[in-house]
Amino acid sequence: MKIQISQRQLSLLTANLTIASGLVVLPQSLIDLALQNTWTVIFLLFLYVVFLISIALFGVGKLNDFALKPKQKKTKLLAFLMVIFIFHIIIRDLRILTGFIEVTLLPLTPLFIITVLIIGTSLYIAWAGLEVIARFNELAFSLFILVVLFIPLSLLEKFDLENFEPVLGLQVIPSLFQSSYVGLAWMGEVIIVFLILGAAKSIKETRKSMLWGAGIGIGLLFILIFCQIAVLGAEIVRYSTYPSYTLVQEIRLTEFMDRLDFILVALYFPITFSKLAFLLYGLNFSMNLLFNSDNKVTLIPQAIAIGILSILLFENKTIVYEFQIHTWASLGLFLQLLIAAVMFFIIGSQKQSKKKNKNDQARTLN
Amino acid sequence: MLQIVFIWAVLIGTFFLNKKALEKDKKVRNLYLVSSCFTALLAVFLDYEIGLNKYTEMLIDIFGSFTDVVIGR
Repeated sequence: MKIQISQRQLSLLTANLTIASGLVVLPQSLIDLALQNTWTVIFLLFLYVVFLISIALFGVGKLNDFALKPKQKKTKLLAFLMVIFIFHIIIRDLRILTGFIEVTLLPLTPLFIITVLIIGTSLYIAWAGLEVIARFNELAFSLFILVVLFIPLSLLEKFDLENFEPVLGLQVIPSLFQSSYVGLAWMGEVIIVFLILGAAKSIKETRKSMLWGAGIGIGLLFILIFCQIAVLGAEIVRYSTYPSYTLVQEIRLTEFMDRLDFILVALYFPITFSKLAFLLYGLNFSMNLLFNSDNKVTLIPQAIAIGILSILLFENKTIVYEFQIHTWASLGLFLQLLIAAVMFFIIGSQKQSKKKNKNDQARTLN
Repeated sequence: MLQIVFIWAVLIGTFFLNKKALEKDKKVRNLYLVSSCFTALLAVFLDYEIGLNKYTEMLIDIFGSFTDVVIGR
């Protein structure tokens, strides 16, 4: 039976890829460069995603169906690039997540145990397949949207609009571009969805669904960054390790509900699990394309190896920070532009073969 | 040592639990064995704290320096 996911599920998977791990550390690095004007950077990031998706999926609306053919050289190249791309994203996200848990929630638990628990949970979801990942993500992400919408409403009285002053000006334009350069690679992670285009209900609608998804994800990030600047101020956020968590700690509804942050963090974690599960699925899918195979058994050693590598590759927190912000900005951008270019050629060749088939059919009828 | 035992036990356990599927397809079995051996070796590295940070440092040197130039650091 053919695996199929709805357009809404595709959109929410795209949205998840833009925000799930980015919201933990990205606002700090963006605000560090663009200060109180960071809210405008989000629009530049969205423009980049529109550009990336439009280039890679150029002409996809003319296709009736889409499938990656494992025997084609272009598909092999795409799979190889995806393996490298996804591998680096998983180790980075795992380290961000374990670091966050270690600092804020479980300071006495060893890193290895936290990594095993995260990998185990994500593997359990990934093992069930794409449809389950998409359904789980749909549920978790809907809750997450409510959580993010609840934040500005509950912090409304703490908003200080003076934190946005001075507003823009010609001299801040370079800092806006510098800040957006750091965020480009994070937003461009949406291209992993290209692997499952064939599973979408309607291939003609995929471009629109992906853009909607990216819009939702980036919109939520905008709300968080706007609230952080409005409530905490750019100077505090730029020196804060986990600004989104600091923001959530500011929420105090009543005297006895002063630890609402735990509940909100608990509602946030499922979306990181669904992102990691989707990444593990994507990694295994790419490996299968690369080796002309169709199995999920190899997912287990792959997932464990990634968990171990996320500990081994980063000796300390300085290297983690350097990698996730400075290195990933260029490495991720380089890889995703390559992937987008390969995808453009794959869709081009499928368009050509469709045209050829049509011509052949017309000739036979004549 | 406990980390090595845990990881090796998971890998061996997975092999026996999926024995039927692995015996059916030789290619899948070989893929599983290769990836398991690699993971088992990494487990040893983890226990003896042999970091693989040279790779990360190389990436930081190449791509991190490029970002620093772009953002003017």
